[in-house]
Amino acid sequence: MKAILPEARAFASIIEALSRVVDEASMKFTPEKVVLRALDPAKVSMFIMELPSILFEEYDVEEEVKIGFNTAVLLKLLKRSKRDDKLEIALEEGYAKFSIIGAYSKLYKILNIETAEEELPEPRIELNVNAIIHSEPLKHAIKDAETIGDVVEFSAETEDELIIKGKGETSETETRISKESGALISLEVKEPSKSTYAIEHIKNIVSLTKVADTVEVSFSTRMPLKLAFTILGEGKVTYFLAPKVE
Amino acid sequence: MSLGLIIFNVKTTTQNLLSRLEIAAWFNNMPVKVHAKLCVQCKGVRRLCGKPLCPILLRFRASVRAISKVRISGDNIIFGSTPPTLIVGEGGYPEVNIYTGIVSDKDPKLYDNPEAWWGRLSLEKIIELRSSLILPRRRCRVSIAKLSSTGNFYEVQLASASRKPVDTEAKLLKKPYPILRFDGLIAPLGPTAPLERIRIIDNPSLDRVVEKVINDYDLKAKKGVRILYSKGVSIYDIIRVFSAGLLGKIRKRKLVPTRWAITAVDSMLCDMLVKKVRNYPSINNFLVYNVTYLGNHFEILLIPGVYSFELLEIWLPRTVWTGSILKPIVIENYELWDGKIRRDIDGGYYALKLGVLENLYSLRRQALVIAIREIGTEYYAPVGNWHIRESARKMFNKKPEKFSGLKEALAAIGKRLSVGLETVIENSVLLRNVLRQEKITKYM
Repeated sequence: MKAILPEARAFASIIEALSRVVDEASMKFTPEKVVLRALDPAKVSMFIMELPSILFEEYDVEEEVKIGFNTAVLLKLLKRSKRDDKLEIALEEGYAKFSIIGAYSKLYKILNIETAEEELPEPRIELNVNAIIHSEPLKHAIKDAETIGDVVEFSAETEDELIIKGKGETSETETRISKESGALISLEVKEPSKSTYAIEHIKNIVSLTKVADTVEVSFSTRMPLKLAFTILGEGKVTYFLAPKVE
Repeated sequence: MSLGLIIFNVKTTTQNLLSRLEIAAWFNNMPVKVHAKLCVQCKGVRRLCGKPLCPILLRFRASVRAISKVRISGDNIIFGSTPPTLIVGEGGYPEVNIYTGIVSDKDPKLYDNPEAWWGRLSLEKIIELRSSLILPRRRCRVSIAKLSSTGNFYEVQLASASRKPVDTEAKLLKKPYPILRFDGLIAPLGPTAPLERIRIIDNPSLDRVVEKVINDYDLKAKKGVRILYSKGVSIYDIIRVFSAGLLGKIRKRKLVPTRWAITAVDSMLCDMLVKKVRNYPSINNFLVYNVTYLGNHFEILLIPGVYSFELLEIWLPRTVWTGSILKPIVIENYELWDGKIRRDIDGGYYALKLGVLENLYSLRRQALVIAIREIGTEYYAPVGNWHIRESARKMFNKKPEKFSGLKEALAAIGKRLSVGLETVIENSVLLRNVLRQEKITKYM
């Protein structure tokens, strides 16, 4: 098998987020797409990456194969890539080969490790709030909240405004994302909702805001949060996070 | 309270120990009821009840008089070795008492070596050992440390930094009064008497790194502590050197009361380790470690997640501080990922935290730490916080129990505790916080 991604850096950002969620993960290459699903050790969140074959410059996968890897090791390699570098992924005799192709090409061979993970189903949930926002304000809202406490609250009362609050023991931060400011692209509220999530988990995937301009934010009262990032046009990274309940 | 302290301070400088005890006894006989919860928080260190000397500790002084077996020749000269032991008192700061421990025994080191005590010595044996360590004292200003780089006082300072025991001779002004003083932070202190002169006979043998750091006159004390620690110098040696005023920029050097030094060194090292540990990946399973020593039972639960730390101290009825109270007293202290403590600090908290952090550091992992210390009646006398530090360090030598869920891990802990699990959960901020977090698997 062989697959060439046009942007190594974008993939590096995905792996950066992934490496904060799990130590080891496994990518499944099927003739149609590349899928990766991972649960964090505390089983609080789930990370799903889906890259359809059309995203790749070259995609040669005849039968289903899996590449298991240590996320920290792969991240270290990918961080060496520069802008406009391409990434070639191949599998050869128990080794996964990652080549960064730019002005010259660098090849990294890492052992294809078996991960014990069973097939994970995607969470099946109906969420009442659905918003598409620019990713930049989300990043800042999370960073703000991080400075004062350990939880962040998402709420939407009307279809005008999405509010992200950071809550500490003695202080609060608040980010309002509305259509007037331009940061809110669309907002659909079936029922006014308010729900709280742990910052220690959300902050893990902040690096995805580097590669995705917009993000789809969905949540409901006392239900999980779903963040869907669109990457390289057709690719998608979805992050589910279970709520904190009183 | 303030009146009491003033009288007390005046008296300490002018009168001998006996009258100090009399004054303390007078204050302690005042009809003030002190709640055991206050004692548990204070542990005789912080004088929360407002009395000049802790009445509980005073009671111990009286009861161990008989243990001391020290014999001293008629001319009040004692000859022996210092393990080394150097204690700096805090009363009257900036003019403080300095005690140099001297013992005549084949193995002087054993008298001041918490690392070797742990797991081997019983409470009785520790008390016995410490009651035959004589502590001649002299009074000096703390700033003496910046002046001396020669002379008798410098010799005493250097002896305290020695790796091996140093032969020492002291002439006392009078016979030591055979008592043993207990303290929440320091190991019990033996008989003391004012000093006429002290002579360090041997050459102290210094570790090369210790020698280098104490001869570096431009190195900040904090930096010095870190260097010594990272070169593997025992924390008890670091505390002694720090306390003796041998660290820091030369013009800022001063003696540091031992109690303050213990907590200062612990907290400096904790800060250093927290910064490192916070960058490591989280553990993957729920791990439980436990150990019991000196009637203190420790349970440490590591939960996958970002570093934070919580200590629950459960004092069962009829222990040192709880007296005749009927229900266990729980005190709780915690910090979140930022490493800032939310409540009053306590020397035991730091000691335990240091032990746990050292182990997380060597695992190159971070975790949410719930530490439980349950104190039973066998711990009838406080012997310092070293045993907490050592317990936390050494319990990681055993293989931990591994669990995939929090409920199972808690159940295993619950079986070994005398109090119910509800008591633990009720009092633990972090555990409640973790339990509030739902699992994503619930929605799959």
